[in-house]
Amino acid sequence: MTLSLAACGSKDTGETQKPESTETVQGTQSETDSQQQEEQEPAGDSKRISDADIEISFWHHMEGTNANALETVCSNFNDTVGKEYGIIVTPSFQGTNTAEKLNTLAQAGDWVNFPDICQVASAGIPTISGYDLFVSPEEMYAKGENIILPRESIIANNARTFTYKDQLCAIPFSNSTILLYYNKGLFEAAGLDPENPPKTIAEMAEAIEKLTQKDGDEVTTYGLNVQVKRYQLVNWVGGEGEYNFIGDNEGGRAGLMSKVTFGEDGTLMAYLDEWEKVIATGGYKPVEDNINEEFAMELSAMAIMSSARIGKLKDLIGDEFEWGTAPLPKVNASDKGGTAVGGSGIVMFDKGDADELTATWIFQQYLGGEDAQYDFCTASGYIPMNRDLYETEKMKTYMAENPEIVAAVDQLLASNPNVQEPFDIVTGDINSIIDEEMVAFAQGEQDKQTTHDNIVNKCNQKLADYVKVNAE
Amino acid sequence: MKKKRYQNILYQMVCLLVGLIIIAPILYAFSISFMEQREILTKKLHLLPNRIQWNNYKEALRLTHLVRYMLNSFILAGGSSLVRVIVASLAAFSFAFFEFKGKNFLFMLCMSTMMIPGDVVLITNYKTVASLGLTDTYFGMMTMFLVSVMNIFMFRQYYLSFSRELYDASKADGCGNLRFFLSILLPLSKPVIATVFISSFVSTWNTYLWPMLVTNKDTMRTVQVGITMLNSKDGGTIYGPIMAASVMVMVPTLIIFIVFQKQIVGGMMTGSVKG
Amino acid sequence: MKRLGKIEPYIYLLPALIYFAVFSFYPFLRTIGLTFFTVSADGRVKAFAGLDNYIHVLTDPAFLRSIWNTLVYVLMASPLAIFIALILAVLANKKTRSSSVYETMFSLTMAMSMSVTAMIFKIMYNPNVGLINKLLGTKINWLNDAKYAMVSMSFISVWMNIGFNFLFLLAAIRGVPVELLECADIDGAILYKKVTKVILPMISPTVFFLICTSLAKNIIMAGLPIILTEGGPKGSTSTMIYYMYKQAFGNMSYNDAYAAAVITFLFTLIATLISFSFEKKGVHYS
Repeated sequence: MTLSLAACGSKDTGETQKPESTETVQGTQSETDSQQQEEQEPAGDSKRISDADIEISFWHHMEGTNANALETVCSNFNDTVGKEYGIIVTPSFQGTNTAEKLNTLAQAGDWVNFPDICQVASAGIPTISGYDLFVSPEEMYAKGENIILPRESIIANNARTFTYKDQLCAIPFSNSTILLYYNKGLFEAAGLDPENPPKTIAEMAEAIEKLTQKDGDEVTTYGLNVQVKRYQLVNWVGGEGEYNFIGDNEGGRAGLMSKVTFGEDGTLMAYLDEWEKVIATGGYKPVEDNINEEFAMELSAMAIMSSARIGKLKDLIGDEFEWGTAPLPKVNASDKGGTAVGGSGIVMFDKGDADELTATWIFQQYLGGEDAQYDFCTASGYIPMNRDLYETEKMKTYMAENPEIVAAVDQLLASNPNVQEPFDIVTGDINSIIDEEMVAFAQGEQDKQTTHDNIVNKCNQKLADYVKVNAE
Repeated sequence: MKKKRYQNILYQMVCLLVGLIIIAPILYAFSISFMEQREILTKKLHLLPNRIQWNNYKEALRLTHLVRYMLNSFILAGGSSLVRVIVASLAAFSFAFFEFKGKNFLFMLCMSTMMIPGDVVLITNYKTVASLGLTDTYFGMMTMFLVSVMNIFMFRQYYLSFSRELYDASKADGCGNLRFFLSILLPLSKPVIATVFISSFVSTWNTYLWPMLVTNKDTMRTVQVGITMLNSKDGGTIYGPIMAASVMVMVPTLIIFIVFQKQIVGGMMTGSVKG
Repeated sequence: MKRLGKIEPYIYLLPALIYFAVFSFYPFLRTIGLTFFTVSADGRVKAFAGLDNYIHVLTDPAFLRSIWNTLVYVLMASPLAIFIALILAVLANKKTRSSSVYETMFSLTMAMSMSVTAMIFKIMYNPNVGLINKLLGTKINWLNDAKYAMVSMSFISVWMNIGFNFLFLLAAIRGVPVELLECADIDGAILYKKVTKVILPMISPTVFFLICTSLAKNIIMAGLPIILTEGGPKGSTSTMIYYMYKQAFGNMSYNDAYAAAVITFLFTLIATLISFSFEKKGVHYS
């Protein structure tokens, strides 16, 4: 009896609540009714997209505390903007590689199970932008409806990271840059200025000489630890000159990348010339075992890794010693390019319902907004991609309290947007080619020229294989 | 007499010592689960935590819904192991006690499924399961683990060393095949059932990729996905909470071990069954 | 009744066969079919390719190295894991008060998931501060030196498989009639004879089972290189299925991936057929 009455009641108020609420007892039912009516009343200009709440599924690959930060952002959205528009977002973890799962679904033709919105690493953009359901922020901005994140607020470098064939394909979200981490105590002990870390690879090599400690023939503290793979190499080579594309077609951003260009334009050789100095010091450790922990144990005086590791290092080091971060040392002193943006962005899919698409678009923009970026980045250690956020007091305070992040932000803002990791598709192969050749070079198994030629030829071979199969 | 007792105690000590050496990595993981971040890798040998603190356990439980995931994994592993035992014992019954056309061919055909790498059939199988509408269901999660030829093979090996006379005798007594299977063969197969159940429970308990592929909700996640959630790919491995979660996740499998071990202890075949 | 008799064995097989048909044979035959075509990164069939994909894979030095690595790995890991487990099973055969404790210990390694095991060993293998170098007094870079990486990885796999093998071998040894054992039970000096002459023949069906399954499992192993080494250093830990995995998911090259999978399948099939050719000679059922 009560049930049916409640059901009638809900009909009268214009179907504002979800069908489940008819199951609640009458008392609370009428309460929610009146509450909703109050909220609905001034809603002559309500932002609600539709009468019923729209549910959005959000796939992500954040783990640990980062996942918590992301969930907080989602519930904040549900409580604020989501409430205004009538949107409920449910985040769910989909493994460390969301692009892989999307790809499996796409190949199986299972579009039904696609999420509305998904966090993906930048490397997945060329594939994902080809899906039938894919809708780019570019198209949404072009439509000009429901814009809550001005396009200009997105820092150009971050936007470029997720741009493919002149289309902004994702809203940048969890971003980082590559940094030099250095131990200030060991710098001082070696007679180096702890506030003036090396700016070029040559300077870094000099520092390594001084920082390396040996016990007889055995190195007890390495001057530098970094394993040069694709990520590290493209940052160095990409930053040479004004900027430098790694491959043709703007490094794969204007179309299919069919070859690497760092061989023919001499930029790879320029880097190897400098890197040879680092290897010659004898205090460079070319493989990574537990790079974070070894830096924290002062087994290496410098290390090169993503800014996303700042939080972990803080935990590991505590008050043991003073350390700092600095921009990635350049290949040539005159280089102006800077470094690439790493990390993930947010893509959206059109699942066939116009209201749902609008709701998704609003949430997608929200994730790039000042509030979301502040909450997420301060809790996770990623670098905000929202230009306006850096003008706010709270962000300034945060940066003052976390000096390690400053180098990452400054480096990001000073870099040329064209410096990016390439869309090279055969990423796995290129990564292992560079890795193997650079380790062999560092361990003295092959000379510079061989290393150079091997990297260029093998990468080109793999790219050619791919193009042969996939060119239109 | 006394000498024998000492020998016996010594024997047990040796066995326990060997056991400790074998599970040393697990004990180390257990120890790490109580360590603070910066204790884990140190310049000096550091095997035990400075003090027992539960932060890693609290952190693991705070960051994931581990209890819920354990329930999911339990349903997944328990359900599929049960089906495995049933299907495998039936199929092996056929392979071991019957002569029929194409037997060897069919057996090798079944065996060949063991040689197919899982990744290569992933997309097609996902397609099948999705088109049956089984995504986000426990049954969908189980589909990849319902039958394993390894189990059929194991049952076959066991049945083959089973006394043929017993089968012939029961047939002579007018006992039908199915009745022989249910009331004589299965009760005598407890050890093999136990080993098959334990091994398939543990392996399904620890699967990662498939359960994650066919489910989309956080509430449907399994324990291995939960452990992954504690990792941090961008920031490097965070050992403490991961080890704490692994220790917690291992408890149910330990219980399964202890419960089913008694069946193995009973002996695989007694002299009387043996012809 | 007579009619039923003829189809009866097939009825018992039916559930398993239907399952395999749907989830193994159908998808794998499809894959085999695709190896003769060019498949683009989004999974579309583009053109007939004949044997090109196979030729391409078999002339790729990285895949040839993976074949070699896999053989080395299988020959190291499979026998060792069975041998150690056999010793443990003989040790645990005698029932004592603490039997259940060390039986659990011996089989516990199978309860560890691969990812967690990989993490623990990664800490222990650290060249500078890891447990293993400290205990051995060595300075070896276990996972990052091409000379040692495959051995280090095989060791992990052996460790993980001990529990599984032990469990099955214990069940088998417990099945050896007590009288038989007692006959042979004189003193330790002839323990070796006891194992080879009495126990081994009696448990040969289980040993045979373990050899076949561990060969198959190890030939298609990819988990450890995926989690631990990414096939490195210098490709020294790339197995055949790791190669396949990398081609499919890292490079979107299904042509290489599928062809590599089929070749791996053939390897496993040959290994299994060879094992089965010994079944009549070496395995004693009842």
